[in-house]
Amino acid sequence: MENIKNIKKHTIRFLPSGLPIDVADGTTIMDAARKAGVFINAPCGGDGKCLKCTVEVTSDGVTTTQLACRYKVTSDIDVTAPEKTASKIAESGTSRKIDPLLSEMISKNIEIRGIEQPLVMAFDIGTTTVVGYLISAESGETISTVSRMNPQAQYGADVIKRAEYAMQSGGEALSRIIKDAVSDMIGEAASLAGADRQNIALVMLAGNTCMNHLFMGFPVRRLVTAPYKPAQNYSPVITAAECGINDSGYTAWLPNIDGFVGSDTVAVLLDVEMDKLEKPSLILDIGTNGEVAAGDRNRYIVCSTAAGPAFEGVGISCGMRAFTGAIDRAEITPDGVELGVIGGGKPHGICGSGLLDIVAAMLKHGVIDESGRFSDEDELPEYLRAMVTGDGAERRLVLARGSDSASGKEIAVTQKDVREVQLAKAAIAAGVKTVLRQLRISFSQLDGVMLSGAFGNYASEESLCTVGLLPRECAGKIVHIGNAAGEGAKLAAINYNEYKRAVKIAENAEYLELATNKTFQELYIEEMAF
Amino acid sequence: MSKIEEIREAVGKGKSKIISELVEEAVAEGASPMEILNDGMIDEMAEIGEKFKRNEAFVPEMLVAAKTMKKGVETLKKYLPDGADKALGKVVIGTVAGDMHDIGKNLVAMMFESTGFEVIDLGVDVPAEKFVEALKADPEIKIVALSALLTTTMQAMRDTITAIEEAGLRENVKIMVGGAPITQEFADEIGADAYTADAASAAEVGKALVS
Ligand code: B12
Ligand code: FES
Repeated sequence: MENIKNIKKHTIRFLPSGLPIDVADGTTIMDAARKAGVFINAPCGGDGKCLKCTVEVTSDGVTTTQLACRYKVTSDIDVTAPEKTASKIAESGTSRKIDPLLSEMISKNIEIRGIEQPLVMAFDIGTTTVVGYLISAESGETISTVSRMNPQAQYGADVIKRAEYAMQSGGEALSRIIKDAVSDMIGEAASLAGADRQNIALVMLAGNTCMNHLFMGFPVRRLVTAPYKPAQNYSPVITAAECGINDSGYTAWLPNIDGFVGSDTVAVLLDVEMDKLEKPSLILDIGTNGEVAAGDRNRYIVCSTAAGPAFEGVGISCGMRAFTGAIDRAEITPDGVELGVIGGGKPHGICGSGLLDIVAAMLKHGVIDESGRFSDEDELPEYLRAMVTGDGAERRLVLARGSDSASGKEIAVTQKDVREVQLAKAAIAAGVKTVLRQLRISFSQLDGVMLSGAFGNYASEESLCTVGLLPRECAGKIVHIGNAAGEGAKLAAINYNEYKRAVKIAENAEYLELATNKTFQELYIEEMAF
Repeated sequence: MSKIEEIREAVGKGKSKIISELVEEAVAEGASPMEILNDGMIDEMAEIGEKFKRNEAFVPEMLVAAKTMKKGVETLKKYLPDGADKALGKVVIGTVAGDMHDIGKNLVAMMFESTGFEVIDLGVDVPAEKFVEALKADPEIKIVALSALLTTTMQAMRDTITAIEEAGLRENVKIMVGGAPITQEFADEIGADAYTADAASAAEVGKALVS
């Protein structure tokens, strides 16, 4: 006990808010920021590997750039954390009109409280982005939509990192910040609509299994270590007050299917009405985990394929998420490359849909061959020779020179990046094929291929087929269904029968484990080539 | 092109259908079996490994080349002095408990094999005790190679090393670790003898460790 008193304390001021916090000598800025509720993105969870957590530190009038997770505080300092930028999220998909029907319990509650204009809210809790919809419980109309980055990103970009933090330091912090964000978003959505947040009778949530577990405070050890199974698929319906997100109303989650197929997938399946599909269809959500569902109403199989974050622009040399400044479209012509940049202006980096386009164009123009190898100088078409430089892993196609990029740094796609794309696309392509084989249906028998989520929404059909993420037979059948998870969560929020339907859909889904599947392993290697 | 060059090319391009024939022909033409092994196959495989390291070749190319070489060695075996293809000794390899990722581990195993080690592959999701048992069963094992692809199974690597220590076998073997989330720092922390980022370097370092 003696020692504790002797530990030196320093004051950190986080700018621009000016929020001060006292911390013990040797505390990292990252830990201090987490404690102070200041957001600093930490994709690698604070291992000092991703170099993305840079902040400006002013100590004794001198300002330097530092890694928040590595810098240990030894004096009073000011810290400026970068502004959060909003990402491009998939807009609402094809909204289905539905008559509101609340459960008896919720209706009774509304009656008792004498609410005149009852509201419900639906949330899609993504690993990266959280989206909330405020809906009239009388008309079923969406009144306002709010979105923001998932604040848990300050504990790591992927679910495993966050779960590890929860295992080591307890899950309270992670549960608290996401609930706080949801509570905040409820307030924001209500004030946008000029409504009273206490009129919200029900908050319906959907998200991947880990997001569900961290939110609810369920143990995550079994989820991220063997056997990789959820602690529970169903979450209890509790009051929003008990949950800590609102003073009145109730909170419910859609059920999970398995450890890596969560209630967000269930929401997607509700949105596409899996239980009514007469003809076989394929539904695909490409994220760090590719969730695959296929079949018809009589039999459908779901699985999760660990693609990794390449198509989210993560782990790619000039990759970025789909923010302003990201190259999201690209084409190679004999006159050079044509780039589409989100928000116009000079490009800052490349996001998933841009990367997909570029790799597809590189294949078509012979910059890389079918094995993914960069062509030698003499194999390159004349018009591209000036744009390809470097050797080995660093051999690259330059899309924008330093002078043409927003950051002043060259933007290029390297040999290493192409390999990352191969690993990711192979995982998804092999997952899809394994599921179809299990169902004994071929691509030509598919009635439709539905792509949901941010990447799926912006990925071009032509490029998807060129790189072989989906086979050519799918061309013409691909439909972008937007943020189907959000849409599904909305349906379940508005109408109790839809919620019950979602539960049935989850129960009837056949889960396929890929980790022990021989067919998957063979196909995975096969699919690595383009 | 000499027969040995043809063999090299067949290995490099993964032409497993013609490799046995080529080997027989080379022997019939009087090429020395050891030369066929070293210059025709081991060297070529090492080169593929190098290309893989530089990202110029990828997983499928490595796999077909290794498969081709394996077939070639099988044909050549009857002409080789006993154990010549496994002169460097024995390696036991596996993906640690709780982890089912095996592609990287397989590549490492293949590179070890094609460098001249005899590889005992325990597969995936291998509990620490199984490594200990394997070591007890075969005192000739010189290297234990552990693979992990999940940040959550890195701990199982530590447990495996501890188990080997507790069984009193640590002095007998060199322990190598690898897999995407592994770093040199982590390898040092858990007391491994070596870490490498790729399969070709793994076999090279392994060779250096036993000689
Ligand atoms: C293929 C894959 C799978 C396949 C595995 C198939 C198989 N039979 O191996 C399947 C679909 C089954 C799978 C399942 C899971 N996966 Co997975 N998977 C991948 C993926 C796409 C590629 C891994 C790979 O094969 N790389 C290629 C090989 C060649 O590289 P490598 O293994 O690193 O090996 C090289 C070096 O590391 C080194 N090396 C390897 N071993 C050794 C050993 C020694 C001794 C030495 C010296 C060197 C060395 O040499 C190799 C060659 O140079 C990655 C993401 C990615 N894009 O990388 C995710 C990834 C590894 N998986 C991940 C996850 C989370 C999972 C699951 C938990 C979840 C899920 N979605 O189902 C499950 C767990 C299953 C289990 N029980 O283990 C995460 C891990 C995240 C983390 N923080 O830990 C990743 C990174 C994806 C992601 N970002 O989400 N996965
Ligand atoms: S380097 Fe600091 S969070 Fe990744």
